[in-house]
Amino acid sequence: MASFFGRNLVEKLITLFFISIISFGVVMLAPGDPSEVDPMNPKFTKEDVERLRKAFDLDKPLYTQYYLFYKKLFTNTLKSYKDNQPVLKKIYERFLNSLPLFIVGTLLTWSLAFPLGIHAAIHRQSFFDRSTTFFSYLFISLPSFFLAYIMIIFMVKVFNVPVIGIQTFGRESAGLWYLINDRIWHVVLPSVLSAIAGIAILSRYVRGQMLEVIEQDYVRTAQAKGLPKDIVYYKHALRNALLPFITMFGLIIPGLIGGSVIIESIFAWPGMGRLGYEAILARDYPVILGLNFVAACLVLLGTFVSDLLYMVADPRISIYGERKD
Amino acid sequence: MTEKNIKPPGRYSDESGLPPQMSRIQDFWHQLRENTLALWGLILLILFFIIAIAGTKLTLGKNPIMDPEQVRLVDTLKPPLSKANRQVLAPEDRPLFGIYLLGTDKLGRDVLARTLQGAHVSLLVGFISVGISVLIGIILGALAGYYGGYVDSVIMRAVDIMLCFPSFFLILTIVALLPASIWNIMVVIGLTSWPGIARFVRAEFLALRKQDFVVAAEALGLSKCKIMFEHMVPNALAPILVSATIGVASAILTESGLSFLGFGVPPPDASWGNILADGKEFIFDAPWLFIVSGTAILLTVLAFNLFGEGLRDALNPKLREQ
Amino acid sequence: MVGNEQVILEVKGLKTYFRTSHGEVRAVDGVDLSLSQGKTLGLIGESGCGKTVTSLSIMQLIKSPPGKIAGGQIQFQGRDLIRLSERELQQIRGNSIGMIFQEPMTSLNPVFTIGDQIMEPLMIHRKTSRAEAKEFTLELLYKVGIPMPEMRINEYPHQMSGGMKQRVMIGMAIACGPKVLIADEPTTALDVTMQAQIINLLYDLQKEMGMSILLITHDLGVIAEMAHQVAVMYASKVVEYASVEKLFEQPLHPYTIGLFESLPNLGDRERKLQAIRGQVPNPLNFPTGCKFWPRCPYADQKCRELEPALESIDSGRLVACWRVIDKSSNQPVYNPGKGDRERSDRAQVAESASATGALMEIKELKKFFSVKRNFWGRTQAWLKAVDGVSLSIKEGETLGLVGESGCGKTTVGRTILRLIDATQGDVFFEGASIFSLKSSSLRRMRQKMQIIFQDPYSSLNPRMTVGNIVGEALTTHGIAKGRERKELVENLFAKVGLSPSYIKRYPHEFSGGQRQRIGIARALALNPKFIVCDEVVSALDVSIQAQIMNLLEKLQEENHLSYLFIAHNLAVVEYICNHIAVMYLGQIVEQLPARELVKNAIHPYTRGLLYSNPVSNPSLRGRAALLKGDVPSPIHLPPGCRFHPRCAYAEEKCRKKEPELVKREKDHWVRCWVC
Repeated sequence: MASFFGRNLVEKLITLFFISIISFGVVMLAPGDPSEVDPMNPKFTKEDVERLRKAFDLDKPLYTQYYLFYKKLFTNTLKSYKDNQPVLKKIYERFLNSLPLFIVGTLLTWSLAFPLGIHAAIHRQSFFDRSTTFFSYLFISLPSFFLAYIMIIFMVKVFNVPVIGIQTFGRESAGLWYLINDRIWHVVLPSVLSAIAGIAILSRYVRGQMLEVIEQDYVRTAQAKGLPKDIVYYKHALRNALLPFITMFGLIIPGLIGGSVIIESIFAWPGMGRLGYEAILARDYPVILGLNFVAACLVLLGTFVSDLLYMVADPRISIYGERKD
Repeated sequence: MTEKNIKPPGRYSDESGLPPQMSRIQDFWHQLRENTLALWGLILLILFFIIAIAGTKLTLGKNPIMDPEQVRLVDTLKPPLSKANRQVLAPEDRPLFGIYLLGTDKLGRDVLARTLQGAHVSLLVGFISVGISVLIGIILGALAGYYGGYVDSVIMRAVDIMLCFPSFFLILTIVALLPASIWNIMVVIGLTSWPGIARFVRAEFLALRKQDFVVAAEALGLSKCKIMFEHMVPNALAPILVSATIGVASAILTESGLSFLGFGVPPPDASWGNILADGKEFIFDAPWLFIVSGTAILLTVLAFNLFGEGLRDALNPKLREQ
Repeated sequence: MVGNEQVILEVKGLKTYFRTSHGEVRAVDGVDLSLSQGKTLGLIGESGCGKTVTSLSIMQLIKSPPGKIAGGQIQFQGRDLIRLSERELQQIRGNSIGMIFQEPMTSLNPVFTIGDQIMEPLMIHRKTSRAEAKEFTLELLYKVGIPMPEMRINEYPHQMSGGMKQRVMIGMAIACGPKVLIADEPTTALDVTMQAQIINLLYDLQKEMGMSILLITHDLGVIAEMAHQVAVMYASKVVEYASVEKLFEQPLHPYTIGLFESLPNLGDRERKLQAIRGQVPNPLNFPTGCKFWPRCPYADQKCRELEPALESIDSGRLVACWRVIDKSSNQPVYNPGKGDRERSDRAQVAESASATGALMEIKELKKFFSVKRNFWGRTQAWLKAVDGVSLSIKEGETLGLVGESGCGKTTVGRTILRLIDATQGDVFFEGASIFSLKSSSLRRMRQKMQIIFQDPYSSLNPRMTVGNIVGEALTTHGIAKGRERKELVENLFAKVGLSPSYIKRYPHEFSGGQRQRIGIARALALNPKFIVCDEVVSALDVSIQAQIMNLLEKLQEENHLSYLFIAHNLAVVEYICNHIAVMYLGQIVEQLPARELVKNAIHPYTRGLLYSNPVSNPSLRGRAALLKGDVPSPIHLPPGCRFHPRCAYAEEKCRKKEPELVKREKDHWVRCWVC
């Protein structure tokens, strides 16, 4: 067990090292210099540019820049080019803002996708199966921003509630009930929107997995034992069909930032995605780099957790991580 | 039945084992026909190709029949089917037949012409970026699956690393840092979306590697390169084709997302994403801008997805036997 | 049907059809069976004859769509199973009818312990508490011969060997004390020693519990060991029905006769195999009249036009054949003696040829696989697949390599062709070391050494035409191109008994036997001197197996080939080989001339294999001398003689010191302390 832990951890750290290099390289090697943040600004003299370059170590060789960058990041002294705030603090604040969207969205996704997929697989070719199939394709193919605007129009016109932003501006002094209600209204639409494609994709995947497992010999054995249908499907088949989804646990985390860029921009939601977007607009390298790095760390953490879970759930996995059949 | 009509016993048994010969394409069509959704996907796809190719012919060149970049300040935000202003506009500035079939935008540009041009852009982005990612994916996946050992470890580590990045954000970062150009977008999408393909090409190769026909090819003294690319790749092609089709759909979506955020195809070229981004400002005054481009993206992506899934079913030997 | 015992399960006119995109497949088309109390009914036939569909139809486990039961009755305990509701069926399945399947590897659920899986039917059907069920499960595990049940009950299927899993399956099927046990090829996926153990177990359980068994198999030996009554199925119908004694004494239907004549018997290698020509017809394209006529040597006009029904011949015997029913002059006869001379002449030719020098010399060959690595990637455990094997193969000779699965015989075959790199040792072909060849000269050398595989499905590239598959190497080695190549390929097709007009077709259009012929043609294309035949007939049906063995013999004669014939079936090896090497856990334990195998083999393992091999003689059933237990894992080898944990004669010395392979007589080597 300890060996599994240790080996996995070392592997993850090596991966992290390469991630740090790649994210640094991508940003630094791209043409364009942060000192050209605003080249048209007449107040920006040559001296100003030099001063900026010095302040951000841009005059040093790349490997020193790399070293200094991560040193500063970990000691929390890395500052944003734009407002001189510490990067980690900025990311953390925005992370907290993104969290409700992410949690509600993930809960929605997982709690809807599984029942839909399983039901469709068991009743293959039924009306239910056909209609979920159709809607899945529809939602997989809908661009999120297109759907978002349609939904905004719909919500504003039908319910007449404001949905942009994290809460309604200028109403902070209203009663507690109003505030809670307001927050919920604001959270619902963006999280539903970020969940919808996920539900569609995941339910298709669950359905496919379930269909494959139902064809297995051991399901036929369970039937030959005279077990009721429910036990055959929901005990014998489902346990096996669910195994692969444990590994998906880690991979949903990139959605926390990548998938939310567009939705957070539309809804003016001050989360991680929007932070990234703003940073890109401002060529705020420390923030962009920091975000990429933090996101990758979160993914690694997620995969680590799912490796552990997988080991617990599948008796065939030995602690060496090899699967025997 | 006369004696003549009966084949001698030996002949009969020789042929009874062989079902009537059916070409691969016939067989494939046979399977596809039973999947209604995939059939719709195919119809939409053919339509999309016709539109995209026609769009290229009509909107490109020096004096195109329909000029997507023609600014007409007298005819801004005209609804669909409205007539062009004949008094002010010179004949060569007027739209085809003098009608704005899908309306105009805030600069009075013909939305139909712009949508047609957008089709061409989507097609280009979809196919070139997927071409790049499939090429990288096949080569790396094949090497990893065939050689195993260290080659495999290194390549799979690279895949793991790539999968750790939030892909859309990574693409957005790189695209934003590079000079705005449609070629950059295609290359960046291509360079960031190969890990998935590499992963399953590797899995296919691992399975194929154990098949006796690969061992037989080795025993016959064929070169490794020949074995990999002439024996193994064709057998992995079916799933690659499926994932490429679905990859085209997602590349089109990614491009439209980038355009929507303002980092896509640079103006004055039109793409469905930036028509939609322009349209969001006039969502109540000129909803057609928004709806036309959004629907175009939806239908195209839907077509690729449906057809891709249909391909998956039609090419899947497991489903075939049922 | 006929008989005075009480009938417990009766199938009448069962019809099961499947809808496919190419048309309706009549997988079972009017089958009658009756199973008597406490007896075993054997259902035998080649693959694709509808045996498994019959068994699944009885359990009502046919997936619908695409399958449907189109007619007939299945009478069990006064009820027709076809008319029962799903809920009523659930009360019968696993309770009064139990079933075991062919593939124990995939038939147990990988995520539950075997205890949980056996307890399930008890708790559902018997409504016992968990504690009671567990107690009973321990008893059951003991009963089906699983050592240390208390420990094993908490294990998962992947921790057990194939034989153990099949024992668990049996335990699960008999948990509720069923009246009927349906066993669908219960030993096909197992090694011969394990097969003998499972047959004995089923035999004992039947005596103890008095249940009736419907035994489905393609193996006449298994039928001879277990069945009381036998139904022979061909092309979705029963063609012959008889008691096991009568059937083995005098089969009547030409198909049954053909099966017997295709089957090699231990100690009877002088008899030439008479294969049934052609293959089982495609159910989408059944011939008119008797479905067997295209393959039948006795068929005449009536057989081609009218289909015979199953008719009673004498007491308790039924047969569906016009020649027998009509008592015609051209009646099929079973004459096991015919063809003797031809065969023994040939055997002599090969044996005199073996006087010349060795074509291939294998010296101290070792191949270890690393199975466990530590943190730094250094190997901590080795799987010793091949551990010091030395063999020599003479020109024109066939050397048999026989052993249970996992003994390393396939690895030997692949290593000597350098398809896998060896760990140690060397191989000399015509005096030249193969292991020191550079890749370009190795590629040239490959023209002389070829391989044919077990699985005719995975051995041909599905995306190439069979003509290209066979001809590819000719182009690669610069032997022939274009027209010339086409002619060569057509010749090869004719040589292996295929129509040259097939060269533009794809592998999936061919049957297993035809594919095996294509594989042989591919190996022959480069005109090799030596061919490794890796279990080439084990995936084939009996009648096709005989065709392929006869073909291999013919080609050997024509082309003066040498074979390394790898197989697990002793009778097959004895029949086709000149010399036999028996392998156990990576080592040769005995080597001797094939004609001496039955009389003179002395190693306890070889004798055990010989005894485990089911004999086609029902009067000899139930012999005791069997190998106990499983093959140990090649990672944790037993100390001393590797065979001692399973050996009945093991002494103190066997546990301590490993014996050497010692020459006992001319051409006879043995690795054993005691024998």
